[in-house]
Amino acid sequence: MAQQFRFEDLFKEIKSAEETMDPFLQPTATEVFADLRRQLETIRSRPFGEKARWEIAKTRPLFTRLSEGLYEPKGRKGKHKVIGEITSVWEIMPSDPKANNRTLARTFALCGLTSVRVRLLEGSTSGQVLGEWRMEIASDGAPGCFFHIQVLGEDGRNVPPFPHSLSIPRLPSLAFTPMTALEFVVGELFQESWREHAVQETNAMNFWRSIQEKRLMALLDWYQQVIKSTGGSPWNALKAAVPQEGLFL
Amino acid sequence: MANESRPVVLVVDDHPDDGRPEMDEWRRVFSVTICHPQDVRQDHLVAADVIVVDYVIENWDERERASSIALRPINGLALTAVLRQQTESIESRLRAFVLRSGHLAKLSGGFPPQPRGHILAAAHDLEWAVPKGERATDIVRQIDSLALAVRLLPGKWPVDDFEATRGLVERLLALPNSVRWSGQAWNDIQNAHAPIHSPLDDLTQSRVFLRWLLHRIFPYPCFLWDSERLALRLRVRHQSLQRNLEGLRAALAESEYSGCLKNFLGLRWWRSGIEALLWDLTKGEPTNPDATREALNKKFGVELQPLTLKNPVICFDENIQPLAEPCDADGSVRIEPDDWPAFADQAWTSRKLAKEHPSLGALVPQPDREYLET
Repeated sequence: MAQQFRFEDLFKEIKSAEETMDPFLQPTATEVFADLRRQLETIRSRPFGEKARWEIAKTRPLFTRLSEGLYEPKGRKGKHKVIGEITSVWEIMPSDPKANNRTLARTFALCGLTSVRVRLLEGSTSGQVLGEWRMEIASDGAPGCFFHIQVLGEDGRNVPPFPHSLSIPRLPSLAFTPMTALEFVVGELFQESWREHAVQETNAMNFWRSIQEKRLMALLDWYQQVIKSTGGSPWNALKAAVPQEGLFL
Repeated sequence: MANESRPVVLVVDDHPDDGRPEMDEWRRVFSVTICHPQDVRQDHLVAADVIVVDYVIENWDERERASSIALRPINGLALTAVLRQQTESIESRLRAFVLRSGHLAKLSGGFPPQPRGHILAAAHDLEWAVPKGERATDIVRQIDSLALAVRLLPGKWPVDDFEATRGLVERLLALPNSVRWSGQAWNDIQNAHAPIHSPLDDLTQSRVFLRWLLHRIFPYPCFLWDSERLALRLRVRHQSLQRNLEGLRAALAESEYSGCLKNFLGLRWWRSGIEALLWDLTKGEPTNPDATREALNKKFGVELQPLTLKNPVICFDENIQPLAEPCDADGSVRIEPDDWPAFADQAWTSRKLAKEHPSLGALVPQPDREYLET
C-alpha cells in the first residue's frame, strides 16, 4: 500500500484554505472548492480499493486574484501582473477496510499520479504563461525526491526546456497537497500581504495551522530520521528515501 | 385524535363564510373545519393536524368588549400564540400553525412575501405562511404535506442514544440505508446542523425538527437539491431537465427525496445520491459536463440541452429570487443574504444587478466588492 491520508484531514484542509485564502482568490474559487469537496465525499463512499481520480480540472481551475507586481517583497513592485492558476490530479482509493454504507472510510491511499500543476499567467486567466511547475509525490521507481517539484515537463510537452521525456530535476518540496500548493502560490504572489495575513490568529488560520503543523512535523521528523539512520551523503539518503505508508495518519 | 385517513385542518377566520371556492378545493383533500375565533373549541384543536389562522382579524365583537388588553389578541399572530399554548396544554401532540393572509406583504418588509414563506414563518414563530386566495394547488399540497409530517413525527425522541436518534432521523427523511452514499448523506445532514442534539422535551424537539426542514433545509441548496440545482450540477438547461424529468425518473429514483414533507416546495434530490449517480454514469469523471450529459442522454434516451457557460452559477435578483437562467461565475459576485445558512451552497448575483440595486450590492462580501468598482 502506498502513502495514506485521512479523508478528514483533507476536508479540513480545504475548508480552512477556503476561509484563510479567500481574499487572495477569485470568487469562482468558491465553486472549485465545492467541487473538490464533493468529489472527495463521493470517493469516500466508493468501495475499498476502488481507484478514483480526485482533481481540480483544467477546465475549471482555481485562480488567485491578480497580483500587481506584489510578488516582490518590502514594498517593491514587480514588472508583471500575475494570476496564479492551480489544477491537480490525485489518483487515490479508499483504504479503510472497515468502511461500509453507514460508516464512512477514514483513509485513502495514493495509487497513481499525485500532481498539482501551478501556472503563473500574465494579466488575466487566459494570459500568457509566465511560469509553470508541478508539486508532486513520486510513484514507485521514479528518480529523485519523494516529495518534489518539477519544472514544466507535463505530459505531452515535447519541446525544450524541460520536455516530458526529461524526468529530472525533482527538487525537494514540503508542499504537495492541492491546498498547500495553493498556499505556496499565494505566498509567492502576495509576498507582503500574505505574510501579514498569515500571522493573524483567526479561527480559520489556527485551524489551518493545526493541520499543517502536524503534517510538516511528521515530514520533517521523517527527514531527520532518514539522515540520522543512514551513512554516506545525507542528500543522497534523502533523495532515495520513501516514507512509510502511514506517515501522515 | 385526527382521522387517520384524511388530514384535519382547522381554519380560524373572522369571516368564516368568505373564500368558499378556495375552501371547497381544500375539502377535496382535507377534513376542514372553519371557525370564527370566538367559536374555536378544545375539540377543534385536539382534532386538528394543521391550524390555519387568518392574519387580519377585525370582525370580533367579543374581543372588543373584553376588559383586559391581555384578552384581546390583536391579530392572527397573537391568536396563533394563544391557540398553540392551549393546544399543547390539552394534548402533547404536534400541530402545525400556518398564517394565511392576503396581507403577507405587511410582514415581509417590502420584499414579495412569496416564495419567502419560510422567512416570515421563522420570524413569527410559525410553521408556515401562505397567501389567501392564491395558487390553491400549491397551498393544498403544502398543507397536506404539513399534516402528514405532524403525524409522522414521533411523540418520543431517543435520549442519550445516538444510534437510535440516527435511525429515527433516517426513517423520517427516508434516507435509504442500502445505498453506498447513505453515510455521506448522514454526514451532510449533520453538517446542516440537524437539531437532534439539544435536550428538549419531545414535543418541542419534534417542532424544532419540523421547522428545521421547513425553514432551513427545503428553501436552500444544501443536502437536498431542487430541480434548478440539479440542472446546474448536470450542466444542462433547467427547462430541458424539466421536460425530460419523466424520462430520467428511473435514473433519479434512488436519489429522489421521499421523506417527511416530500414535495413541500417541489421535488428534491439527495445531493450525495446525485453525485454517486454521476460518478457511476461517467465512470469516475463527474466533473466532465459533456460526459455527464452524454451518459444521461444515451442511457435514458433523453435530450438534455447543455449549459454553455464555463462556470455556471445560480444568481439571485434584488428580491433574492433566482434568475431564470444561470450566469457565469466570472461575471458574478458572491452574496450573503441574512437568512442564508452557512452550510448551504454559495449564493451569487450578477455584477450588473449588484451595481444596479444597492440593497443587493450591500450583500456582497468585502473581498468581492472590488469587482463592482470596475
